[in-house]
Amino acid sequence: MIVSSYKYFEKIRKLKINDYLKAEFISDLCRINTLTMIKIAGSGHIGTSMSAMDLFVWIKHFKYHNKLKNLKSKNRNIFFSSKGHDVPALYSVLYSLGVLKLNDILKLRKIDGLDGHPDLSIKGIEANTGSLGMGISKAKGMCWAKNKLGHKGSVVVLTGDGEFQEGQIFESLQTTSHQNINNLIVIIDHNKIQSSQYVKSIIDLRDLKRKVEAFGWHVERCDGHSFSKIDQVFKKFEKVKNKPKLLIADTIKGKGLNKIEHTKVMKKNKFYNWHSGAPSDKEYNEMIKEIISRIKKKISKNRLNFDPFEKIEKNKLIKSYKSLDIH
Amino acid sequence: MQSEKKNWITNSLTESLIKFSKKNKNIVVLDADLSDDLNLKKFAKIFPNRFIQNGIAEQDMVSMAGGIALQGMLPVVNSFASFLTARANEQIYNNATENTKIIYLNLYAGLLPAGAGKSHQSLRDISLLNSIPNFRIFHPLNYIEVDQVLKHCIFNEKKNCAIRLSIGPPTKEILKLKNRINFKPGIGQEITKGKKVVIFSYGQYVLNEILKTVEILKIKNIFPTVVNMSTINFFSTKWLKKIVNKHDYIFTIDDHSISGGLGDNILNELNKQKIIKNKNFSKIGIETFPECGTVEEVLKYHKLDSKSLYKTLISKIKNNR
Repeated sequence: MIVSSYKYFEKIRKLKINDYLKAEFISDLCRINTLTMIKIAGSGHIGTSMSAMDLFVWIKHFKYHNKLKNLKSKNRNIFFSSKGHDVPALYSVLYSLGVLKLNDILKLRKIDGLDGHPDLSIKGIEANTGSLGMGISKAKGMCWAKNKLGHKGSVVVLTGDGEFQEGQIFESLQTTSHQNINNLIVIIDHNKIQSSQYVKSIIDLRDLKRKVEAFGWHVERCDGHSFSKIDQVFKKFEKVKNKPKLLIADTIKGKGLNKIEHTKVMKKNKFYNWHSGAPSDKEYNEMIKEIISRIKKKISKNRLNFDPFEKIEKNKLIKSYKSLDIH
Repeated sequence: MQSEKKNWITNSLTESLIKFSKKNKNIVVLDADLSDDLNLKKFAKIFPNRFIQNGIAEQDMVSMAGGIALQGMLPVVNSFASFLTARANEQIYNNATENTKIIYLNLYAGLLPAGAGKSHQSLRDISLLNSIPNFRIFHPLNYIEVDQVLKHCIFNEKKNCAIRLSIGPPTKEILKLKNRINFKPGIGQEITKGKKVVIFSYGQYVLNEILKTVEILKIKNIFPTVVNMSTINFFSTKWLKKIVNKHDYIFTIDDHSISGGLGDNILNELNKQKIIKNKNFSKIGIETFPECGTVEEVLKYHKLDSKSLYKTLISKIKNNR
């Protein structure tokens, strides 16, 4: 199942409802597409894609509305993910913005399709990432050059929480503040799970806020699934001019899908088994149903009169599924 | 004091960098607190807004350079070769995959000077960069060639560049060559023209010994062609074929580990071009961890001093006569 027209997302953006509710719809529709992409590919990092989705949607759709036409502008706002394995979610958001095409997202992890980790050859991708720990340094370089060249726009980079075990992260936290690179915003997708276990049981990050503050950063913390709270933090950040900024976004790995939300999985299991891999046919269908029913409820609750599924094609997956010969 | 160092490679590099940075406004220099050997402070004084002191954080420095390059500027990244190319190798690789251009200064490349010991001597940097597809590696011989190599890297080269830099005063025999050096990318320069035997090598320390060896070989009526191979990892096939076909004995001598250095690169190319047949090929380089000591002691220990080289060469030539 796939939302087969990006123009449909445009339509949602034009609804007369508040941005937070729009973001909720877009996020869930992107979840459908991400799930389908991973299902067709047969693999992909599903847990982190879902935990980062709401942050992607807010930043790409509402904070910085990066359309196809301004992808090459020197003054554009730059956003990328340092952990990179959340890229199926980012692709689905880029598709919802009209940057990627349907044919692209149907070919996740294929030789003529989209790479398993971000690559500059793909429209809308700002940096090659995936090997953990490099993102803040790279974003810092972009900020420095923007300042030097007099280009407008800020740089936002998303990291993982497990990623904060990499030594380079601490090199970069230290140099960024020392070098007065204050137009940089870092967001930690703090979903508490790295691969299959709690971050705190692998190597505890302890008091992350105090730690990062000690490096000379302005730190905020909020629910990474609440669009209004994310929005508030970004507004606060705009007022902080003398420090680089970091948001610890508390998220849930697998957010939006009952079966794979870590808070539920870890009650039953010792290990989180949805870090990567694709759902079975049965699981996939259940997950899609869950998202659809949530969207329907939201529509009736808010007394909206639009059909969110007019552009969802049920057959699309089946067709592409067969043509790609994947089981 | 700096004027006395006019003919040092390191000092010349900085003077050229300043000269070229006046023409190319996109150049930015990043340093991991190892600016003294290059006298980069002079650059920082002239271009305070184009010099980034990043402290002893090589990985962060290299990725930062990557971000700067993505914005269309040209980063020149400095640290000791052993730290830069090994510790930050993954960051260098990641930058390279973005197909931007960055110039890496592999300062203190090679075996010598050897007083600091194996933590600092860099015998792996070529092999660590060789396998990255869009990389050009150079080792300029003297203060004149370093200017030519840097000019090429800044203005003509499209790929990433690594410039290996020997530190310390120029060696005696190399000093005599003065401005006879004329750099051409991918093409070595014949410092001596001989017959039957050709020696490919690079760098002011090892080539200095080779030139002394040539004097001893003359007594035995052996006149090798010595080639300054300041381009380490790509060659003009036409030129290489021509020079190899003129000789019977081919030697490569690396100021680097014997594995993954110039010798391997030349051997691979000769094999690829099928011009190795009926030639006697020998690869010389460093096969152990580098020893600590004075220049003379360490050259001798690794059998790279002129006398040891003479013995090695004469044995190979004799055995196959």
